[in-house]
Amino acid sequence: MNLHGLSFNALPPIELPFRFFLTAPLFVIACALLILVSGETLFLSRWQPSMLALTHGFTLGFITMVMMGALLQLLPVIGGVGIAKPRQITLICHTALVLGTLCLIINFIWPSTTLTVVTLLLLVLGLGVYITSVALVLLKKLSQGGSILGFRFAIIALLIVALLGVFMLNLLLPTAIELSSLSSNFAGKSITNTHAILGLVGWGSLMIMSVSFQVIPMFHVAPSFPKFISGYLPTVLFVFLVLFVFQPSMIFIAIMLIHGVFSISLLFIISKRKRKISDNTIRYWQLAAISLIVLNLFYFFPEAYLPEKVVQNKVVLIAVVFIYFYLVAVIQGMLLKILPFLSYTHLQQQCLTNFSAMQFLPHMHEFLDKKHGQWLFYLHVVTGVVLLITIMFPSVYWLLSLLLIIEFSWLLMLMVKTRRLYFSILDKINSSTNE
Amino acid sequence: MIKQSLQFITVDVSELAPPEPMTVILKQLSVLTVQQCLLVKHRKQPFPLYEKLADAGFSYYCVVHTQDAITLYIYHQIAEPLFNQLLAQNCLEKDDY
Repeated sequence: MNLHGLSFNALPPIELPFRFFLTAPLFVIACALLILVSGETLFLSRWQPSMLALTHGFTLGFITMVMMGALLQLLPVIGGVGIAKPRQITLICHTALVLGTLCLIINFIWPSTTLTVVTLLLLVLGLGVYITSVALVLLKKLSQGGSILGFRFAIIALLIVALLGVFMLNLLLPTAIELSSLSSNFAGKSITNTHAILGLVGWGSLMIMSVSFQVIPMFHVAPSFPKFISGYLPTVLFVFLVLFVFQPSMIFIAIMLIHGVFSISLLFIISKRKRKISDNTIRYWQLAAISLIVLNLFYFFPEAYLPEKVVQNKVVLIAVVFIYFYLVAVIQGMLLKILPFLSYTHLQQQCLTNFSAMQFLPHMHEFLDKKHGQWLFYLHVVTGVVLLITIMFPSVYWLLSLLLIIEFSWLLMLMVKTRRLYFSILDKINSSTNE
Repeated sequence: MIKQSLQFITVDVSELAPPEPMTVILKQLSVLTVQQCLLVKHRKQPFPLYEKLADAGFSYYCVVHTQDAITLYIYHQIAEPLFNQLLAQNCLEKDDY
């Protein structure tokens, strides 16, 4: 394939993904305060309103928030084309998602018809506009087919998750549309489980897998993933997710095994990287891969040999490991990599029209100190362990809350510091260009 | 004859981790004359660079060999006729890659 002077979209302005990134830790800090206020009763059942508020604070407020911001940058880097009118789209989507998620959390705790309607409108607007603008890019013929196919599946999964969420919220309204008479798949916990699995695996994991096929070889000078993994794994996983709707228990086993295969190939590719320098992002990828392997062992381990307390909380423990040690771990690790990289790349590009400004570029690591990233990693591991303990012994909820506040305040501080250095260097470059 | 008028400067950034490839490319572009063409051996297409190159007065031409190997030619826009002649004579890859 030869490309001669084709029109590619440049990276969207750095403040757009940063807006998503900077908001995300605030939701986890809010979740930590919710844990502190709710106390140990929060952990009595996963169906509790405050527990639902907590999970949506994490999944929508942190995971989805960061992923939406990151995808704005990844599409032009990986596929060569970014979304149209990124400033306007970001303004609408970010504002609607922030307000919509806040309303959703409040509505779980203090439900009201008005708040349900407002939540519905905001989340439909935020997610709807975002999905449409990303889908318009993904419908084009783009480079890097394997990953782009995974992105397409992930966006379809997000769309279905959002539709199921809208359907469940609609049930809270006096004018609710009931579909449970049509099929048992639309009834009670069945639809909630589909919503959760499609959200965590379809939107979260499928997107992470597709991104890993590109960013691990690119950032860490590692070999490409084997074709049978990068080419087929996203499709196979997506097919199983569709089948999950009809045969949940059987298909869940397959979904677990697919994650096992992915984690082994991930560890293999990481071990083959050319420059084996210590890197915090690599540590996060390794933590995520090992957690998925442990998750597989735990899932298939005979329950007769497990303590009763563990068996009672098995589903929640699986969900916690998947969310905290896999999804959130990879997202934090990626943030540590892309925050300095994006800052540096955006500044480098300014130098193309003024080469003398290259003297102002600091070393990339100055944007985010490696040691500070390492502390974040250790904090994440400790908080994760305390989270698991809290599931079984809720009386330590206060420690979990405290650790979450420390970890995500630290992450926020690192981001603010990176952003501040970026703008101070940009000022220097701009003044040298204007001279 | 034409080829002699466009000197190729080759850099291999395929084993460098980001953002080093861009640093190497920028350093080379800062001293690239209109009689020179920068030939970059890379693993991935630097998509975000493309639009910026045009703004900075450069043209580019990319040859994708495999999923992990590309050759990127960057030259001053003023040298585009010369480059296109080389391209028409099909002597880029044969002689220079």
